[in-house]
Amino acid sequence: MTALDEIKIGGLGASRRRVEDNRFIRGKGNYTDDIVLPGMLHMEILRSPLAHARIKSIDTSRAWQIPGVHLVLTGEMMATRNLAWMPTLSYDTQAVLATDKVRFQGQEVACVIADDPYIAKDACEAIDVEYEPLPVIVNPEQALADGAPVIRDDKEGQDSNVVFNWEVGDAAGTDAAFAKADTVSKLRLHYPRSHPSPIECCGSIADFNRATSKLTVYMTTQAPHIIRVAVALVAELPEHMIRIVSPDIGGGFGNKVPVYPGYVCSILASILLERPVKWIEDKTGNLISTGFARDIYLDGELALRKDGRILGVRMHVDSDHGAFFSDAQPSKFKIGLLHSAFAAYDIPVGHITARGTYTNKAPGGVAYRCSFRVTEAMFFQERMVHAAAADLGMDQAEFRRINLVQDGQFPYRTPFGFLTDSGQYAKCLDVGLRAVGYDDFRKQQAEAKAKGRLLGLGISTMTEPLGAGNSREYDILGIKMFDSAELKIHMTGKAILRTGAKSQGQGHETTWAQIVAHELGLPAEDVVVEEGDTDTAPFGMGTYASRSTPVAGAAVAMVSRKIRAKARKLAAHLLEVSEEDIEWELGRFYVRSAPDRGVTIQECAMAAYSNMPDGMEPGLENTAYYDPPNLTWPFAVYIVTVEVDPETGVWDVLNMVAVDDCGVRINPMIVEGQIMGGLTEAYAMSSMQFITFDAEGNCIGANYMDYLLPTAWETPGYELHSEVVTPSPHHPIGAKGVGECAAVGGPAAFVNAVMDAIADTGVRNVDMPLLPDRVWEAITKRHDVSGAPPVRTD
Amino acid sequence: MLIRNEFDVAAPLDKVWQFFDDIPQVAACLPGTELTDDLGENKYGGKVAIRMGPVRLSFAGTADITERDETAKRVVVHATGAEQRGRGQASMVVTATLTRSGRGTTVDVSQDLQLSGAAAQYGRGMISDVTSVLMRDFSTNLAARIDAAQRGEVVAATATPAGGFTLGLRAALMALQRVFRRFFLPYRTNPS
Repeated sequence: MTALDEIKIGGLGASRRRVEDNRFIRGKGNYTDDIVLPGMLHMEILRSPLAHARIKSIDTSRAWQIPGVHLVLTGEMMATRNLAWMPTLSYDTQAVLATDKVRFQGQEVACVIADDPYIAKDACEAIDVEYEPLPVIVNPEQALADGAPVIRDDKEGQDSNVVFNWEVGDAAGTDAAFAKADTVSKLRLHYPRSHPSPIECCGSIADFNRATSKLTVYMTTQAPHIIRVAVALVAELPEHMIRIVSPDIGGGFGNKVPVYPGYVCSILASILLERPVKWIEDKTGNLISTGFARDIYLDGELALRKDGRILGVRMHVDSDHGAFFSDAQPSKFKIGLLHSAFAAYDIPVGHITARGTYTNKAPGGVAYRCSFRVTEAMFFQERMVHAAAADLGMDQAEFRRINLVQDGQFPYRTPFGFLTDSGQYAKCLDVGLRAVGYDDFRKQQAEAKAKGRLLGLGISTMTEPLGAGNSREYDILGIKMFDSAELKIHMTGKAILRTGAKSQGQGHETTWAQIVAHELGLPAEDVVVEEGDTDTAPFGMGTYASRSTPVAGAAVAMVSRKIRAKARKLAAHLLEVSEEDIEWELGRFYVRSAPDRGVTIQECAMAAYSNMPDGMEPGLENTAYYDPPNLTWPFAVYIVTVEVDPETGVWDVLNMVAVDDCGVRINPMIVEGQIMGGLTEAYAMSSMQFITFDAEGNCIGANYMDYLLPTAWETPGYELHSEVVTPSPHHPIGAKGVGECAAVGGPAAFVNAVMDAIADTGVRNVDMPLLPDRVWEAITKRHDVSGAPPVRTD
Repeated sequence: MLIRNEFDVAAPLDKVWQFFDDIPQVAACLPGTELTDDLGENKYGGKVAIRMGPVRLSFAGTADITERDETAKRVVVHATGAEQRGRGQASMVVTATLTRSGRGTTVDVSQDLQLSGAAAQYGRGMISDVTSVLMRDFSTNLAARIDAAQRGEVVAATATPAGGFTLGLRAALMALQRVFRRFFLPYRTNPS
């Protein structure tokens, strides 16, 4: 008997078609808004039109009179239940419904629950709110200016707009390195605010049943168990009486990690009215009020030796957190994992200072397809590296080759304390340079220049920490960042797997089954995967920060191994030999001395319910909780070539090469899809996508006319490379996570390419997005172009 | 958002200055405007309604004459209003300065407009285009009314509604012009 073909059973490395697509492409998905419960009411939110104003009065009497209105909630009513404010994931407070002031445009002021959403919306318009406008702050500079109004005057002892001051690294050592430098390369830039903008907006249906005292909430959340804990703590309901169900999710990208006021209001409304209450956010509501990303200003310096070695790095960042510090990040570090910057480079010393500020903008600070400020870290790093190579007059590829961490240096301790696990950086760079035809392109570039054409090439090389995280440094509300998997093998050898993660498009239903297939030899199609229901799924911390494969995926492998260990005992019993005489091959145990004598995993499953040895507990199921020993560190090289039109500032991508070493690939097709999606978001951020504010704090980018998403028409083609595979040394199957890499490392490649094309102007930086008018301004005016708010509207 | 317009009226300075004394007449020059109350002390209550396609905004508020400088021939009106369905607030300072030019009068009108809320979010640039169209209409109407008054005609103090097809079309035309201006006219940095 020959062993099973792992690819045929849909195991590790099989480009298995996504099982969830079967229902998605048939319109049979089940999203929050698809759910209709008997007696359900609808909720709409009244949002503040002003960015900063004192609320003088709220008159809801006209709204109450509209037929079909059941409840009008205001901050004052929330306050009587101690729910006007709620804690944030960053240990600050956030208004649920405003009581004293509104602090950003779009802030939740009141909500109406009515028979249908149209009545609720009309009733919102009938609420009269009298505001007294206050001066508006839209950037850290204004926030820190003398005499700036204190936005958070609700907080005792808060007499400025500073949220935090934080530092990491060795200040004195860094000063010494800079003193020895031949050249210091400096760069200032702004990573603009962007919004994850999932196509499905946020929403919830709260259903409180007085008879059973049970609260069920269907909602768009990437982390249902955390929500259950948060509801238990904030609403003071017993945790076993709370069930959070996260059905199909139409994209998350970090936007669906935080707890939003709409969720809280729908829950309270359902408790008060004892009827299901549905809240579905509209697109503008989503764009102006929910978790944004980035919005951080860099002052960066690299100490350089003239032979090209980087001696030290110094960074100061000012981050704009909006009105409430509600960054959705579980690390112990105030500015997330920003200090993962330069982890790919062998730099002896560095120092980072970070200052957070409150402004009159929406709160959030979510990790938009990244691990908590890692996108900013890698963008700053790669823009600084590009500028440094240019300052030294060195070749961009060569400068990186000199400074990248070498294969023999792993595990490598970065100057900011991270331990990178493995990698083959130089090899990845070589693959990328060969693929793009590096030397040829440099020749073409010189020839084109002679004819007045502007060609440019941008490189981004980076490793990033994925899979939050090890429990020493990561927790949410004190809960360690482990994850979980529960596997039940039925009698006939079919199985159900549940995890504490929650797919929003990542394809868990497909890939988790592949890990089980790899570990147990069950065909992947015999394993059904279920996630998102806290009454059935084991406790887990959800899906974000590319943590599913590094953490939950590892738990899937570990639980499969527990099952295999029990199956081995069953096999020994069935084969009437001792356990030590049993060998395993994919899907089958056999007797070492007689390989023909064996039993399949399915036969073991049958025996677990029908023919177990005396004293053995029946059944074949188990649960595993996995606390990762370290983060996983994939490496990537992104190289972009562009042509910039000097007359118009329009730039076109000529070629884009991506080399991703993300360790072992569970499903190569899904990995490629993830990389293409990430590159497209990187292209969007660098070319068109931003959310900005005018001096009055109006959010410009509040709809898809202004906040641009690339379509197939604009999106360039990509050449993907998977030749380099460095398995993670500490992950059970050697996988590293990949969902974010391209979105994290991609933007710098595009920007570096455009900066390379216009290098002769002497311009050091143009802020993203590189809109044609900005590039044109850089070319013609020969100065750096800032995109920081406030934007002029005249 | 600062919008400036300048136009000439074929009437002597004093006549034009007199016209500016009659606030209902001036208000009637702004399309969609309706004065509802004379609150005394140079203060008026009123409404401004704008309709463009699916977008309908109706602001209610007050207009206050905050300065009347006889010698400099300058009048400053401060108007504020809230959208009646909570969709935003508008505040505008209009400064009109009259100067003699030959036998006629040059009227310089500057309008400093601040918009908040949904009204400010209907597409980048669109609101400023619509506002510019409205402000040009205001200037044109002002000139026409002064001319008519000069000829002794009686004009009712009600404004024509602002909206419909032409407003949208002209705003769209303006957006197009803005694009072409970028190529042919001196560059303005940091456009909206």
